[in-house]
Amino acid sequence: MSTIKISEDLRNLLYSLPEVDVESLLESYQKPIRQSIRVNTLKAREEDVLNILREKGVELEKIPWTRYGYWVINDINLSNMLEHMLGLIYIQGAVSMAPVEVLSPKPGEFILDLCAAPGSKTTQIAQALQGEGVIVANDVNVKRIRALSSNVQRCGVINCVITQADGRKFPLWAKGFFDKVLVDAPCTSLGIVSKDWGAAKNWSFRASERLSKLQLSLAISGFDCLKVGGVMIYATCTLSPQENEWVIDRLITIRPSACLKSIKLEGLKMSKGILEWQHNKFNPELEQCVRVYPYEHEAEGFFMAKIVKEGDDS
Amino acid sequence: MLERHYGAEDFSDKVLIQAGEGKIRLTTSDTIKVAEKMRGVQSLGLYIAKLEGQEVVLSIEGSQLLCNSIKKNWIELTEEQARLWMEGAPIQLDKPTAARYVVAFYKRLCLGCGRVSADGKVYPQVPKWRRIQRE
Repeated sequence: MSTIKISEDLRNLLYSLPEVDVESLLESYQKPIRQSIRVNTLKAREEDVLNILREKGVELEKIPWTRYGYWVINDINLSNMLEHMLGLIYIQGAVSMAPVEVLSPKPGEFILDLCAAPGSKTTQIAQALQGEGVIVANDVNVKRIRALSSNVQRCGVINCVITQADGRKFPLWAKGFFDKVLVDAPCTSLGIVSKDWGAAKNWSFRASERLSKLQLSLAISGFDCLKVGGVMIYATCTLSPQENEWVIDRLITIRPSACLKSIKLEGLKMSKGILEWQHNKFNPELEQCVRVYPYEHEAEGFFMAKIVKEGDDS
Repeated sequence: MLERHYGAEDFSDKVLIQAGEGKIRLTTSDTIKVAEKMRGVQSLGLYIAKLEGQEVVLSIEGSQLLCNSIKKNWIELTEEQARLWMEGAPIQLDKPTAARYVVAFYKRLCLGCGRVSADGKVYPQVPKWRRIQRE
Protein backbone atom coordinates (compact mmCIF):
# COMPACT_ATOMS: atom_id res chain seq x y z
CA MET A 1 0.00 0.00 0.00
CA SER A 2 1.35 3.44 -0.94
CA THR A 3 1.66 6.13 1.69
CA ILE A 4 0.35 9.65 1.45
CA LYS A 5 2.94 12.40 0.98
CA ILE A 6 2.36 15.69 2.70
CA SER A 7 4.18 18.96 2.12
CA GLU A 8 6.44 20.49 4.76
CA ASP A 9 4.04 23.44 5.06
CA LEU A 10 1.12 21.11 5.72
CA ARG A 11 3.06 19.20 8.37
CA ASN A 12 3.80 22.53 10.09
CA LEU A 13 0.16 23.57 9.81
CA LEU A 14 -1.23 20.35 11.26
CA TYR A 15 1.11 20.44 14.29
CA SER A 16 0.18 24.12 14.85
CA LEU A 17 -3.53 23.33 15.20
CA PRO A 18 -4.69 22.89 18.79
CA GLU A 19 -6.78 19.80 19.57
CA VAL A 20 -6.12 18.10 16.23
CA ASP A 21 -5.16 14.44 16.46
CA VAL A 22 -2.59 14.55 13.67
CA GLU A 23 -1.98 10.79 13.66
CA SER A 24 -5.68 10.01 13.26
CA LEU A 25 -5.97 12.70 10.63
CA LEU A 26 -3.15 11.27 8.51
CA GLU A 27 -4.59 7.80 8.94
CA SER A 28 -8.03 9.04 7.78
CA TYR A 29 -6.45 10.61 4.68
CA GLN A 30 -5.39 7.12 3.56
CA LYS A 31 -8.89 5.64 3.81
CA PRO A 32 -11.78 6.27 1.43
CA ILE A 33 -14.61 8.43 2.74
CA ARG A 34 -17.69 6.41 3.75
CA GLN A 35 -20.30 6.38 1.01
CA SER A 36 -23.50 8.26 1.73
CA ILE A 37 -26.61 9.41 -0.09
CA ARG A 38 -29.42 11.87 0.25
CA VAL A 39 -32.89 10.70 -0.72
CA ASN A 40 -34.37 13.30 -3.07
CA THR A 41 -37.93 13.89 -1.95
CA LEU A 42 -38.53 16.25 -4.87
CA LYS A 43 -38.80 13.11 -6.98
CA ALA A 44 -40.36 10.46 -4.74
CA ARG A 45 -41.43 9.68 -1.19
CA GLU A 46 -38.54 8.85 1.11
CA GLU A 47 -40.04 5.53 2.20
CA ASP A 48 -40.62 4.42 -1.41
CA VAL A 49 -37.00 5.16 -2.37
CA LEU A 50 -35.67 3.35 0.70
CA ASN A 51 -37.78 0.32 -0.17
CA ILE A 52 -36.51 0.28 -3.77
CA LEU A 53 -32.91 0.51 -2.58
CA ARG A 54 -33.34 -2.19 0.06
CA GLU A 55 -34.94 -4.50 -2.52
CA LYS A 56 -31.74 -4.06 -4.55
CA GLY A 57 -29.59 -5.02 -1.60
CA VAL A 58 -28.41 -1.56 -0.57
CA GLU A 59 -27.86 -1.51 3.20
CA LEU A 60 -28.56 1.88 4.72
CA GLU A 61 -28.11 3.57 8.07
CA LYS A 62 -29.59 6.95 8.97
CA ILE A 63 -27.17 9.87 9.37
CA PRO A 64 -28.37 11.59 12.55
CA TRP A 65 -27.57 15.21 11.65
CA THR A 66 -29.30 15.41 8.30
CA ARG A 67 -32.98 14.84 7.53
CA TYR A 68 -32.70 12.73 4.37
CA GLY A 69 -29.12 11.45 4.58
CA TYR A 70 -28.06 7.78 4.84
CA TRP A 71 -24.77 5.97 5.13
CA VAL A 72 -24.39 3.17 2.59
CA ILE A 73 -23.04 0.20 4.50
CA ASN A 74 -22.17 -2.21 1.71
CA ASP A 75 -19.80 -1.70 -1.21
CA ILE A 76 -22.05 -0.77 -4.14
CA ASN A 77 -21.44 1.37 -7.21
CA LEU A 78 -24.28 3.83 -6.66
CA SER A 79 -23.32 6.13 -9.52
CA ASN A 80 -24.32 3.46 -12.05
CA MET A 81 -27.70 2.76 -10.48
CA LEU A 82 -30.98 3.62 -12.17
CA GLU A 83 -32.14 5.42 -9.02
CA HIS A 84 -29.14 7.75 -9.16
CA MET A 85 -29.61 8.60 -12.84
CA LEU A 86 -33.35 9.16 -12.32
CA GLY A 87 -32.61 11.59 -9.49
CA LEU A 88 -34.22 9.59 -6.69
CA ILE A 89 -30.95 9.70 -4.77
CA TYR A 90 -28.03 12.10 -4.69
CA ILE A 91 -24.58 10.82 -3.76
CA GLN A 92 -23.31 13.35 -1.23
CA GLY A 93 -20.79 13.30 1.59
CA ALA A 94 -22.38 12.98 5.02
CA VAL A 95 -20.69 16.04 6.51
CA SER A 96 -21.20 18.07 3.34
CA MET A 97 -24.95 17.87 4.09
CA ALA A 98 -24.40 19.72 7.38
CA PRO A 99 -24.08 23.35 6.11
CA VAL A 100 -27.55 23.26 4.52
CA GLU A 101 -29.00 21.68 7.66
CA VAL A 102 -27.59 24.63 9.62
CA LEU A 103 -28.87 27.10 7.00
CA SER A 104 -32.29 25.49 7.47
CA PRO A 105 -34.07 26.73 4.31
CA LYS A 106 -37.84 27.14 4.57
CA PRO A 107 -40.43 27.06 1.75
CA GLY A 108 -40.97 30.54 0.32
CA GLU A 109 -37.50 31.90 1.07
CA PHE A 110 -35.13 33.48 -1.45
CA ILE A 111 -31.73 31.79 -1.12
CA LEU A 112 -28.37 32.47 -2.72
CA ASP A 113 -25.80 29.70 -3.15
CA LEU A 114 -22.84 31.84 -4.12
CA CYS A 115 -20.30 29.13 -5.07
CA ALA A 116 -22.78 26.48 -6.09
CA ALA A 117 -21.13 24.00 -8.48
CA PRO A 118 -21.43 21.04 -8.71
CA GLY A 119 -24.79 21.50 -6.97
CA SER A 120 -24.94 19.08 -4.02
CA LYS A 121 -25.97 21.81 -1.63
CA THR A 122 -28.11 23.65 -4.20
CA THR A 123 -30.23 20.56 -4.73
CA GLN A 124 -30.36 19.97 -0.97
CA ILE A 125 -31.65 23.55 -0.51
CA ALA A 126 -34.19 22.96 -3.29
CA GLN A 127 -35.42 19.87 -1.50
CA ALA A 128 -36.01 21.89 1.68
CA LEU A 129 -37.88 24.61 -0.25
CA GLN A 130 -40.30 22.02 -1.69
CA GLY A 131 -40.81 24.09 -4.85
CA GLU A 132 -41.75 27.31 -2.98
CA GLY A 133 -39.31 30.22 -2.92
CA VAL A 134 -36.29 30.59 -5.18
CA ILE A 135 -32.64 29.51 -5.19
CA VAL A 136 -30.05 31.43 -7.14
CA ALA A 137 -27.18 29.04 -7.79
CA ASN A 138 -24.09 30.89 -8.93
CA ASP A 139 -20.65 29.82 -10.01
CA VAL A 140 -17.88 31.61 -11.82
CA ASN A 141 -16.60 28.63 -13.81
CA VAL A 142 -18.46 27.69 -16.99
CA LYS A 143 -17.33 24.03 -16.92
CA ARG A 144 -18.52 23.62 -13.36
CA ILE A 145 -21.84 25.25 -14.29
CA ARG A 146 -22.46 22.38 -16.71
CA ALA A 147 -22.24 19.93 -13.81
CA LEU A 148 -24.43 22.20 -11.71
CA SER A 149 -27.10 22.39 -14.45
CA SER A 150 -27.07 18.60 -14.88
CA ASN A 151 -27.53 17.98 -11.17
CA VAL A 152 -30.29 20.59 -10.83
CA GLN A 153 -32.07 18.95 -13.78
CA ARG A 154 -31.57 15.40 -12.50
CA CYS A 155 -33.03 16.38 -9.12
CA GLY A 156 -36.14 17.93 -10.70
CA VAL A 157 -35.70 21.48 -9.37
CA ILE A 158 -38.12 23.99 -10.91
CA ASN A 159 -37.38 27.06 -8.77
CA CYS A 160 -33.68 27.58 -9.44
CA VAL A 161 -31.92 30.32 -11.40
CA ILE A 162 -28.41 29.35 -12.49
CA THR A 163 -26.05 32.28 -12.96
CA GLN A 164 -22.45 32.59 -14.05
CA ALA A 165 -20.87 35.57 -12.35
CA ASP A 166 -17.97 36.58 -10.15
CA GLY A 167 -19.47 36.06 -6.70
CA ARG A 168 -17.62 39.12 -5.41
CA LYS A 169 -19.76 41.36 -7.62
CA PHE A 170 -23.16 40.04 -6.58
CA PRO A 171 -24.08 43.00 -4.31
CA LEU A 172 -24.02 45.25 -7.38
CA TRP A 173 -27.38 43.77 -8.36
CA ALA A 174 -28.57 41.78 -5.35
CA LYS A 175 -27.68 43.82 -2.28
CA GLY A 176 -30.03 43.09 0.64
CA PHE A 177 -32.14 40.77 -1.51
CA PHE A 178 -31.86 37.29 0.01
CA ASP A 179 -33.30 35.69 3.16
CA LYS A 180 -30.41 33.24 3.34
CA VAL A 181 -26.99 32.87 1.73
CA LEU A 182 -24.63 29.93 1.53
CA VAL A 183 -20.97 30.67 0.86
CA ASP A 184 -19.36 27.27 0.38
CA ALA A 185 -16.08 28.87 -0.55
CA PRO A 186 -13.35 27.43 -2.77
CA CYS A 187 -10.56 26.25 -0.46
CA THR A 188 -7.41 24.15 -0.17
CA SER A 189 -9.57 21.05 0.52
CA LEU A 190 -7.71 19.60 3.51
CA GLY A 191 -10.98 18.02 4.63
CA ILE A 192 -11.22 15.81 1.56
CA VAL A 193 -7.60 14.74 1.02
CA SER A 194 -8.62 11.07 0.82
CA LYS A 195 -10.33 11.96 -2.49
CA ASP A 196 -7.27 13.82 -3.79
CA TRP A 197 -3.87 13.19 -2.24
CA GLY A 198 -2.47 16.00 -4.36
CA ALA A 199 -4.11 18.51 -2.00
CA ALA A 200 -1.78 17.32 0.80
CA LYS A 201 1.33 16.99 -1.33
CA ASN A 202 1.04 20.48 -2.79
CA TRP A 203 -0.43 22.37 0.17
CA SER A 204 1.33 25.65 1.02
CA PHE A 205 0.80 28.57 3.39
CA ARG A 206 1.15 30.89 0.42
CA ALA A 207 -1.70 29.29 -1.55
CA SER A 208 -3.87 29.22 1.56
CA GLU A 209 -3.24 32.90 2.26
CA ARG A 210 -3.97 33.81 -1.36
CA LEU A 211 -7.27 31.91 -1.27
CA SER A 212 -8.24 33.47 2.05
CA LYS A 213 -8.38 36.90 0.41
CA LEU A 214 -10.83 35.58 -2.18
CA GLN A 215 -12.80 33.81 0.56
CA LEU A 216 -13.09 37.03 2.56
CA SER A 217 -14.32 38.93 -0.50
CA LEU A 218 -16.91 36.21 -1.15
CA ALA A 219 -18.01 36.19 2.49
CA ILE A 220 -18.46 39.99 2.48
CA SER A 221 -20.30 39.81 -0.83
CA GLY A 222 -22.62 37.05 0.42
CA PHE A 223 -23.26 38.97 3.63
CA ASP A 224 -24.11 42.17 1.74
CA CYS A 225 -26.68 40.24 -0.30
CA LEU A 226 -28.60 39.37 2.89
CA LYS A 227 -31.71 41.17 4.07
CA VAL A 228 -31.53 42.52 7.62
CA GLY A 229 -32.34 39.52 9.82
CA GLY A 230 -31.05 37.14 7.16
CA VAL A 231 -28.76 34.18 7.83
CA MET A 232 -25.52 33.27 6.09
CA ILE A 233 -23.51 30.08 6.39
CA TYR A 234 -19.85 30.30 5.52
CA ALA A 235 -18.35 26.86 4.98
CA THR A 236 -15.16 25.34 3.66
CA CYS A 237 -13.85 21.80 3.47
CA THR A 238 -10.45 22.75 4.78
CA LEU A 239 -8.70 22.93 8.14
CA SER A 240 -6.48 25.98 7.79
CA PRO A 241 -7.45 28.80 10.21
CA GLN A 242 -6.27 31.24 7.56
CA GLU A 243 -9.21 30.18 5.36
CA ASN A 244 -11.68 29.79 8.20
CA GLU A 245 -11.39 31.70 11.47
CA TRP A 246 -9.30 34.49 9.93
CA VAL A 247 -11.96 35.08 7.25
CA ILE A 248 -14.79 35.24 9.79
CA ASP A 249 -12.76 37.39 12.18
CA ARG A 250 -12.18 39.90 9.38
CA LEU A 251 -15.83 39.74 8.26
CA ILE A 252 -17.25 40.59 11.69
CA THR A 253 -14.72 43.43 12.02
CA ILE A 254 -15.49 44.91 8.60
CA ARG A 255 -19.26 44.38 8.95
CA PRO A 256 -20.23 45.17 12.57
CA SER A 257 -23.82 44.02 11.96
CA ALA A 258 -22.54 40.47 11.38
CA CYS A 259 -23.33 38.45 14.46
CA LEU A 260 -22.08 34.90 14.98
CA LYS A 261 -24.56 32.30 16.22
CA SER A 262 -23.99 28.89 17.73
CA ILE A 263 -24.38 25.73 15.65
CA LYS A 264 -26.08 22.60 16.91
CA LEU A 265 -26.47 19.39 14.94
CA GLU A 266 -27.48 16.14 16.54
CA GLY A 267 -24.85 13.42 16.43
CA LEU A 268 -22.19 15.44 14.61
CA LYS A 269 -18.90 15.59 16.52
CA MET A 270 -17.76 19.20 16.29
CA SER A 271 -14.88 21.19 17.77
CA LYS A 272 -15.11 24.89 18.57
CA GLY A 273 -13.50 27.51 16.36
CA ILE A 274 -9.85 28.25 17.11
CA LEU A 275 -9.17 31.52 18.98
CA GLU A 276 -5.38 31.63 18.79
CA TRP A 277 -3.21 30.45 15.95
CA GLN A 278 0.38 31.35 15.18
CA HIS A 279 0.59 35.15 15.63
CA ASN A 280 -3.20 35.62 15.35
CA LYS A 281 -5.63 36.24 18.21
CA PHE A 282 -9.19 36.03 17.00
CA ASN A 283 -12.40 37.55 18.39
CA PRO A 284 -13.68 35.30 21.24
CA GLU A 285 -17.03 35.10 19.39
CA LEU A 286 -15.30 32.79 16.93
CA GLU A 287 -15.67 29.99 19.43
CA GLN A 288 -19.17 29.66 17.95
CA CYS A 289 -17.78 28.49 14.63
CA VAL A 290 -17.39 24.74 14.31
CA ARG A 291 -14.77 22.37 12.92
CA VAL A 292 -15.44 18.79 11.94
CA TYR A 293 -12.34 16.64 11.47
CA PRO A 294 -12.26 13.84 8.87
CA TYR A 295 -11.41 11.15 11.45
CA GLU A 296 -14.54 11.84 13.52
CA HIS A 297 -16.97 10.19 11.11
CA GLU A 298 -14.79 8.70 8.35
CA ALA A 299 -16.18 11.54 6.29
CA GLU A 300 -15.10 14.96 5.06
CA GLY A 301 -13.61 17.63 7.27
CA PHE A 302 -15.55 20.89 7.37
CA PHE A 303 -15.58 24.35 8.91
CA MET A 304 -18.87 26.21 9.39
CA ALA A 305 -19.85 29.63 10.67
CA LYS A 306 -23.44 30.83 11.09
CA ILE A 307 -23.80 34.58 10.73
CA VAL A 308 -26.92 36.71 11.19
CA LYS A 309 -27.23 40.21 9.73
CA GLU A 310 -28.54 42.27 12.60
CA GLY A 311 -28.56 45.68 10.93
CA ASP A 312 -27.51 47.59 7.86
CA ASP A 313 -23.86 48.67 7.86
CA SER A 314 -23.97 50.58 4.58
CA MET B 1 -50.76 19.14 -26.83
CA LEU B 2 -49.99 17.16 -23.67
CA GLU B 3 -53.64 16.15 -23.51
CA ARG B 4 -53.60 15.06 -27.16
CA HIS B 5 -50.34 13.07 -26.96
CA TYR B 6 -50.40 11.54 -23.52
CA GLY B 7 -53.88 12.23 -22.15
CA ALA B 8 -52.07 14.20 -19.45
CA GLU B 9 -53.14 17.28 -17.55
CA ASP B 10 -51.29 20.56 -17.90
CA PHE B 11 -48.90 22.22 -15.40
CA SER B 12 -51.61 24.75 -14.59
CA ASP B 13 -50.14 26.34 -11.48
CA LYS B 14 -46.64 26.74 -12.94
CA VAL B 15 -45.11 28.78 -15.76
CA LEU B 16 -43.95 27.26 -19.05
CA ILE B 17 -41.27 29.11 -20.98
CA GLN B 18 -39.73 28.43 -24.37
CA ALA B 19 -35.93 28.37 -24.20
CA GLY B 20 -34.76 28.03 -27.78
CA GLU B 21 -34.87 25.12 -30.29
CA GLY B 22 -38.39 24.23 -29.18
CA LYS B 23 -37.25 23.42 -25.64
CA ILE B 24 -39.83 23.99 -22.93
CA ARG B 25 -38.89 24.69 -19.32
CA LEU B 26 -41.13 24.67 -16.28
CA THR B 27 -40.70 27.17 -13.51
CA THR B 28 -42.56 29.45 -11.11
CA SER B 29 -43.51 33.13 -11.41
CA ASP B 30 -41.28 33.96 -8.42
CA THR B 31 -38.30 32.33 -10.16
CA ILE B 32 -38.85 34.50 -13.25
CA LYS B 33 -39.08 37.64 -11.10
CA VAL B 34 -35.82 36.79 -9.34
CA ALA B 35 -34.09 35.91 -12.64
CA GLU B 36 -35.01 39.35 -14.02
CA LYS B 37 -33.03 40.92 -11.19
CA MET B 38 -29.91 38.74 -11.61
CA ARG B 39 -27.01 39.05 -14.03
CA GLY B 40 -25.27 36.27 -15.95
CA VAL B 41 -28.39 34.08 -16.02
CA GLN B 42 -27.60 30.75 -17.70
CA SER B 43 -30.89 28.97 -17.17
CA LEU B 44 -33.94 28.85 -14.99
CA GLY B 45 -36.45 26.19 -14.13
CA LEU B 46 -36.55 22.63 -15.34
CA TYR B 47 -36.27 21.32 -18.90
CA ILE B 48 -39.42 19.26 -19.34
CA ALA B 49 -40.07 18.82 -23.05
CA LYS B 50 -39.05 19.52 -26.61
CA LEU B 51 -41.47 20.34 -29.40
CA GLU B 52 -40.71 18.41 -32.60
CA GLY B 53 -43.21 19.62 -35.16
CA GLN B 54 -46.57 18.60 -33.78
CA GLU B 55 -45.04 16.17 -31.28
CA VAL B 56 -44.21 16.76 -27.61
CA VAL B 57 -41.11 14.85 -26.50
CA LEU B 58 -41.06 14.77 -22.71
CA SER B 59 -37.73 14.80 -20.85
CA ILE B 60 -37.23 12.34 -17.99
CA GLU B 61 -38.28 15.06 -15.52
CA GLY B 62 -41.24 16.13 -17.69
CA SER B 63 -42.53 12.56 -17.76
CA GLN B 64 -41.97 12.16 -14.00
CA LEU B 65 -43.96 15.31 -13.25
CA LEU B 66 -46.85 14.03 -15.36
CA CYS B 67 -46.40 10.43 -14.28
CA ASN B 68 -49.75 10.04 -12.57
CA SER B 69 -51.77 11.62 -15.37
CA ILE B 70 -50.29 9.96 -18.46
CA LYS B 71 -53.09 7.82 -19.91
CA LYS B 72 -51.97 6.91 -23.42
CA ASN B 73 -48.88 6.28 -25.56
CA TRP B 74 -46.90 4.64 -22.80
CA ILE B 75 -45.10 1.32 -22.39
CA GLU B 76 -44.23 -0.75 -19.33
CA LEU B 77 -40.65 -2.01 -19.01
CA THR B 78 -39.19 -4.92 -17.08
CA GLU B 79 -36.22 -4.28 -14.79
CA GLU B 80 -33.84 -5.53 -17.47
CA GLN B 81 -35.48 -3.35 -20.12
CA ALA B 82 -35.37 -0.33 -17.77
CA ARG B 83 -31.60 -0.76 -17.45
CA LEU B 84 -31.26 -1.10 -21.22
CA TRP B 85 -33.40 2.02 -21.66
CA MET B 86 -31.16 4.03 -19.35
CA GLU B 87 -28.13 2.70 -21.26
CA GLY B 88 -29.70 4.23 -24.37
CA ALA B 89 -30.35 0.86 -26.04
CA PRO B 90 -33.50 0.32 -28.18
CA ILE B 91 -36.40 -1.74 -26.81
CA GLN B 92 -38.49 -4.06 -29.00
CA LEU B 93 -42.21 -3.28 -28.69
CA ASP B 94 -44.60 -6.19 -27.91
CA LYS B 95 -47.33 -4.76 -30.10
CA PRO B 96 -47.33 -2.09 -32.80
CA THR B 97 -48.30 1.51 -32.03
CA ALA B 98 -49.24 4.44 -34.24
CA ALA B 99 -47.57 6.91 -31.87
CA ARG B 100 -44.23 8.45 -32.85
CA TYR B 101 -43.18 8.85 -29.23
CA VAL B 102 -44.07 6.84 -26.14
CA VAL B 103 -43.33 7.32 -22.44
CA ALA B 104 -41.62 4.43 -20.65
CA PHE B 105 -42.65 3.27 -17.17
CA TYR B 106 -40.75 0.96 -14.89
CA LYS B 107 -42.90 0.11 -11.88
CA ARG B 108 -44.10 3.57 -10.85
CA LEU B 109 -41.08 5.39 -12.25
CA CYS B 110 -41.20 7.37 -15.49
CA LEU B 111 -38.10 7.13 -17.68
CA GLY B 112 -38.86 9.76 -20.31
CA CYS B 113 -39.78 9.42 -23.98
CA GLY B 114 -38.61 7.07 -26.70
CA ARG B 115 -38.98 7.45 -30.45
CA VAL B 116 -40.90 4.64 -32.15
CA SER B 117 -39.27 3.52 -35.38
CA ALA B 118 -40.67 1.60 -38.33
CA ASP B 119 -38.84 -1.59 -37.20
CA GLY B 120 -41.04 -1.74 -34.11
CA LYS B 121 -38.31 -0.65 -31.74
CA VAL B 122 -38.35 2.28 -29.31
CA TYR B 123 -35.22 4.41 -29.16
CA PRO B 124 -34.95 6.08 -25.74
CA GLN B 125 -34.25 9.81 -25.77
CA VAL B 126 -31.93 9.61 -22.78
CA PRO B 127 -29.19 12.25 -23.02
CA LYS B 128 -25.66 10.86 -23.00
CA TRP B 129 -24.82 12.36 -19.60
CA ARG B 130 -27.82 10.52 -18.06
CA ARG B 131 -26.94 7.09 -19.41
CA ILE B 132 -25.79 4.32 -17.11
CA GLN B 133 -22.80 2.19 -18.09
CA ARG B 134 -23.36 -1.31 -19.44
CA GLU B 135 -22.61 -3.85 -16.70
